[in-house]
Amino acid sequence: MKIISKFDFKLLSEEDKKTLYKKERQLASADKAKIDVESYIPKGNCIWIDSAVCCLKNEKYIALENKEFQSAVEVDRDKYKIHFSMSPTSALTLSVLNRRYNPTSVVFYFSPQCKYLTVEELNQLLQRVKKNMPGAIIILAIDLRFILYHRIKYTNDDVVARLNCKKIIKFGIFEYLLEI
Amino acid sequence: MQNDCDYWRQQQRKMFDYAELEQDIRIKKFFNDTADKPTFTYGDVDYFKNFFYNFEKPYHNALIFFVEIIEYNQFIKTLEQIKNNIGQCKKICIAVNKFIIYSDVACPDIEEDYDQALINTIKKCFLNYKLHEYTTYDKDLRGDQFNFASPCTQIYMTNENY
Repeated sequence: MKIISKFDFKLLSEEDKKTLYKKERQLASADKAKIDVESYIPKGNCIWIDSAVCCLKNEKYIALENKEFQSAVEVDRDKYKIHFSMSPTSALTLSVLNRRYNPTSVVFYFSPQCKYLTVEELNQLLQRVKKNMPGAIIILAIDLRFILYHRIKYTNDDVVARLNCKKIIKFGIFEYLLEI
Repeated sequence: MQNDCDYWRQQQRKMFDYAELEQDIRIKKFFNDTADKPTFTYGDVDYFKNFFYNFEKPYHNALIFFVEIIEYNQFIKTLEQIKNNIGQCKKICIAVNKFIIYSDVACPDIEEDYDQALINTIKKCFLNYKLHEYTTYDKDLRGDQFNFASPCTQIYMTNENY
């Protein structure tokens, strides 16, 4: 009998990638956003990283999506500003987009880029964004269920406190909207 | 009605030609020689409803799943209630999605390793059982590797005095 022990993207069909894309990105699978992130976005260019922002159908946002899922992103590419990268949070990708758009904000909306990371790794990711997009605030909608930490030693609020946030809004047991 | 967890299990299997998940095979192997014996079940066990078919007391087996969000102290209370309910069993498997546990109050003095702390919590509740084996979520599989195949910490225990 065959056994699934781990996922290998190379084995997945295009249809399966669409299923995973929707499963992993709240905006791609829900009728509306869980929290009104848009009201926290300042004026100026806003880049949404791996967050299925095209589902909001707002042409003013810039989408940076994971190239692995390019075929799963079903939007009019002439209408929306959308970029694909194999490494959406690499320093190179971030600095290129910073030069092009000079964003005032970056949004991670339940992004898979912020999943299965330790708190230290998440902090490193956020610092990398800050360094390469110095004029942007980071707005992070996150579900802490997908962050690796000691859930008995620390409360969820303890974990958030380690992220050096300017603003913290808790809207679920594990769900937070953070401004960094 | 199929729950979300079961639906997602089927979605994953469909992607891989209906191969069985490693975590499910592990459970079936453990209970293979006693699947016909009376079994207590708790939580998301729909997938095993055709594997076990005798659910009368007194129980020989217990299969316990935690996949819904639960506070740590409530988790301990639930384990205690289950222990009192099942009495003495021969075999127990407790599968916990370790990502769904949270604490209202931090326990700073607990051991540093979360997996070990979770296993020790369960062991303390089932003192008269011998730890047979355990498996934990593979922390190296993350991000784009996207592994939901084995998200559970599984703890297998046997009762030598049964």
